[in-house]
Amino acid sequence: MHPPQATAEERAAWPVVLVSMPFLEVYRPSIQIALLKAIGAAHGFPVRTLHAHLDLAAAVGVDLYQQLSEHRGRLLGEWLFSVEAFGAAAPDPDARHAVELAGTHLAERLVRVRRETVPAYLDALVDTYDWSSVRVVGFSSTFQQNTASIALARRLKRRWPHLLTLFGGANFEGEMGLEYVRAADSVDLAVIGEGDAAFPLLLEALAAGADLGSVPGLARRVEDRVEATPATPPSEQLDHLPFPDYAEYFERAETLGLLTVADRPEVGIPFESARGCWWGAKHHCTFCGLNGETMRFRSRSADRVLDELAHQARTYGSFRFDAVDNILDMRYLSTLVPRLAEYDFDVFYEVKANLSRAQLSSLAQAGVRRLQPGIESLSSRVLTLMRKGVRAAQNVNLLRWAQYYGMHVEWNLLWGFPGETEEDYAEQASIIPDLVHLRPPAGASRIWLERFSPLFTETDLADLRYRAPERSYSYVYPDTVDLNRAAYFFEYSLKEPLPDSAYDGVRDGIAQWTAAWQADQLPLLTYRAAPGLVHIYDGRYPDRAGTYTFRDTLAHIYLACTDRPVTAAAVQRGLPPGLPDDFVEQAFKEFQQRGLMFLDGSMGLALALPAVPGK
Amino acid sequence: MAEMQISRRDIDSLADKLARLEPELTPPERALLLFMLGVAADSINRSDADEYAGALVSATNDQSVPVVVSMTESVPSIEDEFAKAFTPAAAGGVQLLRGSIGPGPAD
Repeated sequence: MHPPQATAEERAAWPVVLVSMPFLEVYRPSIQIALLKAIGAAHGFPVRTLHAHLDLAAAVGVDLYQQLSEHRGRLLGEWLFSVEAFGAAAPDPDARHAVELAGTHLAERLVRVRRETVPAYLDALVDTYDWSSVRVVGFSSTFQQNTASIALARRLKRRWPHLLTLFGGANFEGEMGLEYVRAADSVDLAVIGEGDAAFPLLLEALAAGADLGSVPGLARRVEDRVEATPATPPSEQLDHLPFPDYAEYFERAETLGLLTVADRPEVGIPFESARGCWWGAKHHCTFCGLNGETMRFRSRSADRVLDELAHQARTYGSFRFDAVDNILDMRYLSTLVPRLAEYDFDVFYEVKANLSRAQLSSLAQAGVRRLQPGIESLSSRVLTLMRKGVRAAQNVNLLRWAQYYGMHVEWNLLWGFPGETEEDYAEQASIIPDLVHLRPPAGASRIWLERFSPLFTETDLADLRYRAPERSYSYVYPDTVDLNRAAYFFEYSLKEPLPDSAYDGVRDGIAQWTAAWQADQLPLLTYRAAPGLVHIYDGRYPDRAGTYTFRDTLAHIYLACTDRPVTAAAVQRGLPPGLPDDFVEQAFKEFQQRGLMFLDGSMGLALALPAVPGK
Repeated sequence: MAEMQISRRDIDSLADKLARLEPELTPPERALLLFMLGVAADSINRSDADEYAGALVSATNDQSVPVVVSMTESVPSIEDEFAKAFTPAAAGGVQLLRGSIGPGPAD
């Protein structure tokens, strides 16, 4: 039996507002609400978006807002809204943890934001927007958008009790969403999982007056318990989804004075060409919090992706596009990427770090000049512990060729994995000085334990002494929220952890590496080659600058390892017979001792880049 | 191009084979072989002999002894090659190719 269908008039009687709350980035519209808006509209529902995070950015200033939205440590943004979200039940009403969360330099200012700016901001949203005709308010909640969303829902329901509040997004995945529905009165409904199918079905059921129990993937309170319907399997087809509608973001940002029309080309427009992770579906990286259902990899056709980018560029006047994909579909290297080269876009993608020089060259030609390759470590042993499926030499090689082709690589170095040793970090510390001509990591730190990750779910993988929700959750959520069910980040301790001093060498090395990239003269290591000759200019350290000259066999060995890591045996096979069996291995070690080569097991990788650009 | 190390045994073996071949060669063939060996010897002698780790081959005008072979000193070690590979930059000298490789457009 088919569920009842609403008429066009009934659908028109269900206006919806989809809200994006702080702390979404300022210069980035929400793909979540923009896509759902387009889906709702395609089903005949009057859906609007409200990028309300922009109003707070305008109120506190872009600089402070960006500091808060880029904050990746404790739940500072959540703490700012917790009193408004939970009222008297909120912990830390006196802001005693402000210094711990924000540091002394920001604490005083943020206490004022919490006590004065946030309530005024919420009041203004309630007072200045016409909510009287709205029936459903939807909130997309990812990262630190949760308490701000709950706070606005609470205020709206106080003023407009007829409003139905709907939540979704990464913060509502799995049992987290069920717990928030149970514990937060202002959360009426939550979509658990992908909303593309559930959202229009929910609106249809509401408009037709049907039982909400027929809507898949929906959680709600029924009397004193939470009921959730099973979600439909994630759609295999993504081409049918409409283009996200970002018009309201640009209008609002420009009205608030955060953007001008002239700024539009620099706004990164999010687009989605794939969902899931093809690598994680085979080997789930141990620290990655993508869950089982969302892991399955699906991608759009190249035609569909190109159509969307062209449409969005024409509509909004931006040429900057940020893929929200977890990983690049490798098929795009032969389908999408060559055709992207015909456009003048500036594109961001997350990629696996095993891309070849030729593949990186193709991506750069196509305008994919911002990459996040998930490098995470410079130790093959630690990468194996992570199940990353790449070697350290491949990571370094990606840094080399991405730099050569003018790509900006965003990466981090992580530690804290079960099974790692002090030697793993001593080795990394020892090779960092050789890599200073390559882009340094943006950060280096212990991993956070994420819900859904193998380190969280596979008890035999992580020998933990203890595990608990990250401490700042307790400064944000009342004790009526079961944080073991609601938290995404967890603190942990291994039964046999390394002393923190084990990472000092890496920390110090990265600090010096970062400082070198802030100097007027960037470190250089380049080579020029001719038959039987290679000159390597080493300008990584001004007091040791100079040129190495190698001829014939040694030049051949070095140049054999410039495109990619190569084993000593493979290089030796390319040399004339008669050389000692360990000739190449010896040469590798000599190159390494001079910081000219990165050795990874039996593989050698030349560290210098071609002096001549554009090859 | 990579060089090849040539041992005394290689030279003796080649000489033996050529000696066995000689009775079967016609006078033009013998002249051609001698010409080719002479060209090869000249080519090797023109190269920087110190850079090579093997044998030297030289031509002679006496066609009854077409090729004379002699060995150089022992093969230079990898350590030696690396030890002499580095030339420090002159203090305050020109920095090579500054800016040809650098950060991406996002910087």
